[in-house]
Amino acid sequence: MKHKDLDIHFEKLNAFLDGNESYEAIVAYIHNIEDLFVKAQLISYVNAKANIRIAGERDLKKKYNSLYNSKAVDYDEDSIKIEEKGDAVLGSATEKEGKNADTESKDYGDKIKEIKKDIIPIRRILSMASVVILMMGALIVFKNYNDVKPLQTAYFEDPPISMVRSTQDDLFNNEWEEAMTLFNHKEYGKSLSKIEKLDLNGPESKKNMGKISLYRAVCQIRLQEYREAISTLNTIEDTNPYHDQKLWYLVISYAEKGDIPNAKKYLNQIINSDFHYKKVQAQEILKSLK
Amino acid sequence: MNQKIQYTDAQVMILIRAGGLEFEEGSNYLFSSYLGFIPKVKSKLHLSESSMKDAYSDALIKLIRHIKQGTFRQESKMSSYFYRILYNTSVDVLRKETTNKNMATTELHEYSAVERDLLGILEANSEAEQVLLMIDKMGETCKKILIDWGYYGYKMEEVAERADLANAKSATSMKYKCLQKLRAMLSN
Repeated sequence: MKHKDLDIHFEKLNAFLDGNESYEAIVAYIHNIEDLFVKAQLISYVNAKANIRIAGERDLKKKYNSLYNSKAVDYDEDSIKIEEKGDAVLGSATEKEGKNADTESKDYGDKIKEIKKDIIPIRRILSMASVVILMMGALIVFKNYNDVKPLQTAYFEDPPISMVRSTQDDLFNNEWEEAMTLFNHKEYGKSLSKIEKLDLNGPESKKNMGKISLYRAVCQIRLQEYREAISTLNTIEDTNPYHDQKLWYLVISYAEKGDIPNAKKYLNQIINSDFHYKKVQAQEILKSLK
Repeated sequence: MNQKIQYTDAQVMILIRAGGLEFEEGSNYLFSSYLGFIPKVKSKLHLSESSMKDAYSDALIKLIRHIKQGTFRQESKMSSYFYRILYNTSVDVLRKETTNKNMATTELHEYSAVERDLLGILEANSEAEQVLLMIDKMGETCKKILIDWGYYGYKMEEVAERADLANAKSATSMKYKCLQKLRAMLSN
């Protein structure tokens, strides 16, 4: 059996193991293989991959355990009292706390104490905020559709900064890193000019085109260059992993531009997409526009 | 002070599935994202500190496995999905803790659902639930190369750098030999 032929079979198995091939497709593929020797090779490959996965998971577990120990995760009685007292708050508060944990500088016990300290002010702020939101809602209802800026601005947040995979092209990596640092510091003009100076026809840019276009567009939105942002976003292909973000920032761009029919068009695309990460927000916005 | 980056569920999935440095970023992000669930589960099940630590790591590893293998499809929020895994894993750990305190957790040594499916399709004459672990019998370099390539998903030039090899070509050839050796050990 030629190695090359076996490698093709292994690639097919990998596609299934990585969730990129359906059960039906792999069944059909394997049923066409009649050679018992090849089948034995494939079985040993699956077992080898299982071995590697398990070894990898054990390695990751070691890393997690050392992270856990280094964070000095501490549970004091206070944390349990908070749960008992404010269970309704806790569901979201603990989850949010987990997400926002600045785990490098504070241990968990401290964070819980901080939540406890913050619960009452947060409640006060929330009740004040709800009055403000109600007033704003009333304003929006009576406003023309063309003026949706107060509504959608609340939904506009930057995507998290994103690095590219390390490659041998250090120049590209360094320039991208600088652009992302500027972006992170909200220096959108400088970040945009860094991004635009990248060699957009180079192999690294081509590999990361979706990511580059997304951050370029967000800078353009921040600089109120909505038309440019829309055309940048439209360069992201439907099959690109950043397609979901593209739809969301198209909504933002059109809404900021005051082009409500187009904003609605992309809101509907988001709503009709099964797993879009902004589906709920899109429904809220569309509802408020009707 | 480091600023905590916020990722959406979709972005975490992209990071984990991309492998390499992105995987590192995504797996570290997940670790710090769900620490808030620990006190709730711990107090509900009265778990010891070390069992909670075990359960938390195991649950994160399962979540990552589901993301990598495509079995988590964002039908629910990742946090709710993870909470269910954490709770069930914690119950398992508690059960083991109360029945046999010295018994190591064997959960991570079983075939995953997709691996079992694949062996079923290949008509592997094995009813074994547990994976025959041979990788530990290999040398450290081989093991590291295989894990970096097959689990963490590093590119070959990164694998070479991490294993102190001359270049991507040497890493590819070494990986090939190691994988062949492991398959041979498993076939015998």
